[in-house]
Amino acid sequence: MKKLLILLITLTFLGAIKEKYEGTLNIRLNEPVNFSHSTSNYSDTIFYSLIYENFFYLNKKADISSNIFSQYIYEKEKRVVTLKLKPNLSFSTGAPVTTKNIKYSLRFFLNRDISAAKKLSRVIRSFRYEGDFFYIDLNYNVPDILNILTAPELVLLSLNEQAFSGQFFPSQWERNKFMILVPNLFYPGGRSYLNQIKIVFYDYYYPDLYLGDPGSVNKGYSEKNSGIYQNIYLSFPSGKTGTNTKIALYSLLKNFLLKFNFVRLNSLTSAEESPVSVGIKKFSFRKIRTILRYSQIKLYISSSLKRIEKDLLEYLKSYNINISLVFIENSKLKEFIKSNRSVKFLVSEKLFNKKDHIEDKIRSIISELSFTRFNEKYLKFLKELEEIKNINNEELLIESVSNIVTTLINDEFVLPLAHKKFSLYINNNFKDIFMDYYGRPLMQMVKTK
Amino acid sequence: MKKLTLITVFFLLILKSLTGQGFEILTGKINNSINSYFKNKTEIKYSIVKFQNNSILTDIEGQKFYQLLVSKLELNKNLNFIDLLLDFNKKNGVFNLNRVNGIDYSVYINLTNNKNKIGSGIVVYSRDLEKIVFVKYFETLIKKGERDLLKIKNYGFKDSAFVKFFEINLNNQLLDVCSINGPEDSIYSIFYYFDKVEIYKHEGKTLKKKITEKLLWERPFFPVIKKEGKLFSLIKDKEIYFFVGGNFSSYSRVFSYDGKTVNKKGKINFIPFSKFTINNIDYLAGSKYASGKNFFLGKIFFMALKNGKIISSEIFIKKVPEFFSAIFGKNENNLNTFSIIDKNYLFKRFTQDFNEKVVSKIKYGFAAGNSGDNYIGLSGYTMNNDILNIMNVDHGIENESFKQDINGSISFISKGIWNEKKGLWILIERNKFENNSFHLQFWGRNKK
Repeated sequence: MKKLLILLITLTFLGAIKEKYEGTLNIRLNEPVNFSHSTSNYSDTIFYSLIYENFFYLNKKADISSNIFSQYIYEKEKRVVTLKLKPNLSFSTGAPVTTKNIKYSLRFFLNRDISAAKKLSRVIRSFRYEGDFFYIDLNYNVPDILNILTAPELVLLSLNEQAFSGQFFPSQWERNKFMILVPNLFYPGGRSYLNQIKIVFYDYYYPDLYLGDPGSVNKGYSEKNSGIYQNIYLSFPSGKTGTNTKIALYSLLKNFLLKFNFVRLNSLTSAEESPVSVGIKKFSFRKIRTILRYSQIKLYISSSLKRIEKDLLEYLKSYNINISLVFIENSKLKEFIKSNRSVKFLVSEKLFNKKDHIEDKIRSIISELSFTRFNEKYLKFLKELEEIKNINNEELLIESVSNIVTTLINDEFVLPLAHKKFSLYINNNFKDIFMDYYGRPLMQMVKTK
Repeated sequence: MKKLTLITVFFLLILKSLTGQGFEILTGKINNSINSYFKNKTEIKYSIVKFQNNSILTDIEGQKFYQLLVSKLELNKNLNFIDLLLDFNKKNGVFNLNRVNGIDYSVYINLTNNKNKIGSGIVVYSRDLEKIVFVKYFETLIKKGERDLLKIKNYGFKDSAFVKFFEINLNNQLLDVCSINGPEDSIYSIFYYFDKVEIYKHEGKTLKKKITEKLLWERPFFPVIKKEGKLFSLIKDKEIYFFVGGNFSSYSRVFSYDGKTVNKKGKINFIPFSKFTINNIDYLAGSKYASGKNFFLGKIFFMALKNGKIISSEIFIKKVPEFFSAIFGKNENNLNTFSIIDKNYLFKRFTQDFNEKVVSKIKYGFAAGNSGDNYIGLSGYTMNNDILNIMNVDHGIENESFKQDINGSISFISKGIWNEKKGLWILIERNKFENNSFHLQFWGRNKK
């Protein structure tokens, strides 16, 4: 009977009423620094997904899909990926999308200091284009190359910074307050039904869509599991610091974060998947104060954590500890630390999707947090992880990850401070918001009820 | 035997109710008296300019009375009766008084009650209502049964009214279709898909594909979640000219077909819906989709055609509400009425001057089209399976005449021809296990 009911429901139809083009969706996010694409935190991941279109994405069924390419084929024998641009695509300004833009976007991505880009750089030998066709020649056979191309950071960019490829584009921005996004008439996936999206950067009581702690009860809202978690690390780029100072700062920061809605993190990735639990004994407050009181520490923090600044300063003041805070823009973090070798302490965050493989997460920690400390030992780790991934041996993988994590902790390479899971809360007045593989809300089909 | 007697009595009663009854008598008397008054006059033009229903007759019954009377007045070949009725409002007729200048006599009809009888007063005025020239009063008994019969007549001929003549399943989403008398005196149907146009020749009850023309769209191009489009065709110099446009493009493309090849003829910046004559000038009239959206802008574009050529510089625009579908009603080659399904799913009829005259009390679906022989089709306002509503347009007034439940959702309704019958093409979209299927049907009157 149940089966019959399901069948009947499926057989009934589409709806003889058309969708309306209306509504403003209010979202609360962190304020971006600029429109230069960045996905260093979850808020940015959502924001930039609204204004830039990915080369590829994974649809609801986790199949590879694209709004930009009508054809995408990998020829194993030739080791060539062939992409065919859909006809008549335009950026938000109406300027045509050409294969030159594909080249520019791919090059921009490959130059980025992120593990997904590095991974692809190793694979790609060259690329070329002819008319609407774009060819990527590979160094060796990579069966999952199209999967690699679904990286959320690989987006379609224009040479003109005011031209956007996403579903929306910015029409108004009042710093520290809000930004208005309006639908892109030329969006390759089809114009949004919403009239606008208002992104608020302040505490706006009950926006229509916001990130929150899992399990919060809010009448009129649905909770979506984003599958995204954020880890905060303390790393030591120069490496020239005494262990006592490192542990004292670690203890201080860990105590602070646990007071502000973060959860204890005793592994490099997450407790559920990590084979090794990191046990670092925290110092007492007395000891922390004794060590740090006159240490004149300059603590560098990635700008996406700016929101903790006020609370952290008050916290430090209450314990009479003098630490100065310096915030560095996420996109310039690596460059800054490479050119400022005096940076001893850095607090940064990393965003992970629980669906990603643990070896990829460890790889990105090594690649992105090692800075000047990267040496042959770490290079060996990266190669080892790559090999293990190809072997597909779970036991060997766990053993290897355990060894690497233990070495990283013993080397005082990076210390895990805290983490936070995210849920996405959506006002029930809106329908058809789906979550993609990367935990981003898909806004294309969103409509008012 | 008893059964046979009962059937005979029942049949006689029906026959009696259909012939020579109150309405017939009353309208006949009015017609005769008017004819009698004008019998020595030639080439006169006259119109009813006022129709008041102060009787117990309902709005529908009053409309039927008016239609019956007009059908009699129009039969007199020596007199020139001009019907100026636009609509009925609160039982009374609404007339286009802008056109009274051209008439010689105005007629005022007033329906009243006298005990159990319906009375009708007739007053004939000379030009400009200067003086009363003729007054007459008639009354007759109109039984309740006869009045009821008038009501059921609207729905009572389902079997002889609209039926489905043809259906084919399509693999892709058809955006529109139209049928037209073309080269070699044959009927052609043009199937419009997003990326191609297919032209079929009607051969009896089959369609024979003659040619496929690929459509390549240019910028500005708006990718859409759901593609919508419209096709219009006309005949010029024995060639079919057709126009295709959609919500993904800001212009419509123009082609001609001479029976052998399809030729590109450029583009215009709106989608034509109809062609008609105003002040002896031919016009193409149509609208534009709101870019990338699923409705038309609230603008009707008129583009002049001189010597069969499009005069792009001569465009004027009339404003109407934003709409999903539009129907141009023509009388000969002149614009008679203009109707839309607006974004609130209301059927709205306008005068020739584009003044809003009638708004339906109920909502319809977004699809609407006319058959070219006084019938219009409207989809249903429903979240479940669709409904095909057929209305008969009589003297500019729509009367519901037929309803049919449809399995699926009606995507469009367009003017069609099938086996020499005028009617409606209807595309039905069904969703089965997340896959959409498309079914094109032809509906027409089943008259013998």
